[in-house]
Amino acid sequence: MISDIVSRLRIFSSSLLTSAAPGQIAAGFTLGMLIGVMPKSNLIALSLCVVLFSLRCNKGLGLAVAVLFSLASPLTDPIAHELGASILQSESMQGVYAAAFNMPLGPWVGFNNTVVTGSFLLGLYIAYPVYFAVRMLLTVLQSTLPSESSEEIVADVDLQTRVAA
Amino acid sequence: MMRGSRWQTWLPRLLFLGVALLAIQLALGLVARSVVVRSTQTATGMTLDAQYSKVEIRAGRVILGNLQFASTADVPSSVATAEVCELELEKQPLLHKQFIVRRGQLDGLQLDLPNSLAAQTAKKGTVTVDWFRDDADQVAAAWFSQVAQRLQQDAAQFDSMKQTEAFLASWTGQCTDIDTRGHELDQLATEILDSVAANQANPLRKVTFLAELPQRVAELQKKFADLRDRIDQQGDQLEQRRRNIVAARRRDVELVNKPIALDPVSADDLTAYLLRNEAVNPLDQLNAILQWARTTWPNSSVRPASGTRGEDVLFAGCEAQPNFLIRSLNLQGTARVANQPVELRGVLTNLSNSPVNHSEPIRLRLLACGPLPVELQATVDRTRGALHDSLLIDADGVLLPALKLGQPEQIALAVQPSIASLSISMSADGDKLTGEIQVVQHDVHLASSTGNEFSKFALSPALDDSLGKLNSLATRISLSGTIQEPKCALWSNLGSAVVEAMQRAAERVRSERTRELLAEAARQEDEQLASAERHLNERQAHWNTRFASLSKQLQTVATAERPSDRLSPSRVGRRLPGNSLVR
Repeated sequence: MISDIVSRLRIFSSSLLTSAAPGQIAAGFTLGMLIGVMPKSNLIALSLCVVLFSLRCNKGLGLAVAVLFSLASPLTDPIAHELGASILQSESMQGVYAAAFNMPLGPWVGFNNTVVTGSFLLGLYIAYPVYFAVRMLLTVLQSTLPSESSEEIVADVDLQTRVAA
Repeated sequence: MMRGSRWQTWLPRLLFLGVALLAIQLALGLVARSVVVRSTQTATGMTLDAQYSKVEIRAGRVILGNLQFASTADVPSSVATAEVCELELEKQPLLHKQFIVRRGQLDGLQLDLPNSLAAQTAKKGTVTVDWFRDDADQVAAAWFSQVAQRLQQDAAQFDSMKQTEAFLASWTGQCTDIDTRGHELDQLATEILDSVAANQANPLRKVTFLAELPQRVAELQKKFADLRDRIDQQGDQLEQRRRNIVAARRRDVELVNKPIALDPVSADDLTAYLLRNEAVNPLDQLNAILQWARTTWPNSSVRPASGTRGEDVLFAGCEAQPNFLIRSLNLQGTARVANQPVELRGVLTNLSNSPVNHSEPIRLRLLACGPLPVELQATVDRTRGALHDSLLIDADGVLLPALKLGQPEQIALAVQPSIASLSISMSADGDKLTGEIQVVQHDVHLASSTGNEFSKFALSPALDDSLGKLNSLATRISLSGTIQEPKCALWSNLGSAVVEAMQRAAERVRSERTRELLAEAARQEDEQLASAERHLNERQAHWNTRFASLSKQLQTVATAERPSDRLSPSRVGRRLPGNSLVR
């Protein structure tokens, strides 16, 4: 029973990590995190999704991370709200914001929402550290497990799938 | 070869384009439906379910089909259904995330007004209002008890009856006295006669007895005469009393012919007693509508939508505008009003999800055609922070169902189904509430029923006769106070009509009952007086005969039993010749 669950998790994680390059995996993770913490009903989130699918990065991992961070986003909302409110209520920038907002598609961007702006900026702020940390971790992991290449993982996944079928 | 490769190139691309367009069409339909559903819920507080949706991009039109509006009450219930809704969108505002419906058409609308009103009143959190705080029920109950008390009558209460009973009580005593006295005299006479017989054997005592006999007989005769006089006087007394009783009877008749004196009761109290239960339901419904309007369209611009994260900041220089606005929506369908199906036509204007940010108030105008003409106008004004709601309803020919008014254990009225004209005018400005509801029922047929208190009296038919003259029933409810503490004043011609009818019915019942009681009392009095007279005559005849017999016997004895003459010298001397030597 437990071994079955472990094997399925292994298959799932293997399918997410098929891309060998740590940089691509880290980019997917970072974009997924950025998408996950943000509210989705705006053009910023949509644009990030487009970026995720356009760039050469690990899309599966990106989507999985987005889902995970979406679940955890209520935890970051208060901080994001405070951050977004302090930025959007800046007196000196009101004209710029208003001009941007009154442009066509301006309201669709959703930057007038405190959590959208706050979470986006917060995500951007931690994006590079996260990208760096994930890439380092993966590099270390791949160096400690040199025998199991991605082709082997794929083969193992195929085997497991056949067995399961 | 070139042609074949070109065909193999463009056909998949064309197919992909077609599929993409279809997908876009489908996605736009889904998005449009989602937007309309969410916006409708925000704008009206009702949930909307549409079975299909379609977007015509070039025409900027959204078509929704098989719509179902349901209340968001604790127990969701269908408020209305519609077949098709066509919304013509303004394209430019879409770039600014604004869904502005220039013109719309809602066809096949089926409005379930009673269900929707019941759903609103059943909503949790709806403030229950004690509309009638007065003690009308107690006042009415006290008055009914008083009426019942006044109808309680007995023959013994009449003066003639009292006099008769008092006279008969004294009369019986007098008769007993006379009989006793008669028996005494009879005994005396018997004793004298017995003494005469006894003295026959004792000449010595006889002399003395016979000497006193005439005097004793004379005395007894006098006593006989006195008793006869008493008996004769009793006859005169009886006649005098009879005249007195007849006079008292006349006074009794005059007294009962006077109008029944009931304590005055406020017709409004009686109106409230009869109509309050029927009035509470529509008042609650109106109050629920008002509260629903206030909850759905608050006058504050800050209105966080459920599920929204964060706050939308309005930048300096930006004007807040509603995201969803229906400038004009034509309505066409049917509804059930007062259990009658009616054809509805109307127009809803300026419905938005944020009325406070729009320059025009929400207006709804509905016209019902056909046999039940109804006009409804509702205005919800939240412009520039205003808080004003008004509702006007005018209806003619409304078929009102049968009603039961009042408490069955006291006085209850059954109102047969009737045709009524209804006028509702209600306005809430801020918290201040004003309004008036007028109902005029024509060709009203009322039937009364009485409780146990009046069971002994045939009050109901008399009441029905009086209430039968009431052809139309007008009721007016005036609203005042605040939304939180509304007050209402109920007026109807029913209250005064019932007071008058009760007065008349009580008069009639009392008159009939008094007439019966008077006749019964007179019969009893006559019987008793006749019995007394008969008894008197019997006594008179008995004692006259007896006394005459005794008198005769005594007279005979007194005459026969004279004392013998004693021989005295003078008597002897007188009997001797004058020249006798002895003389």
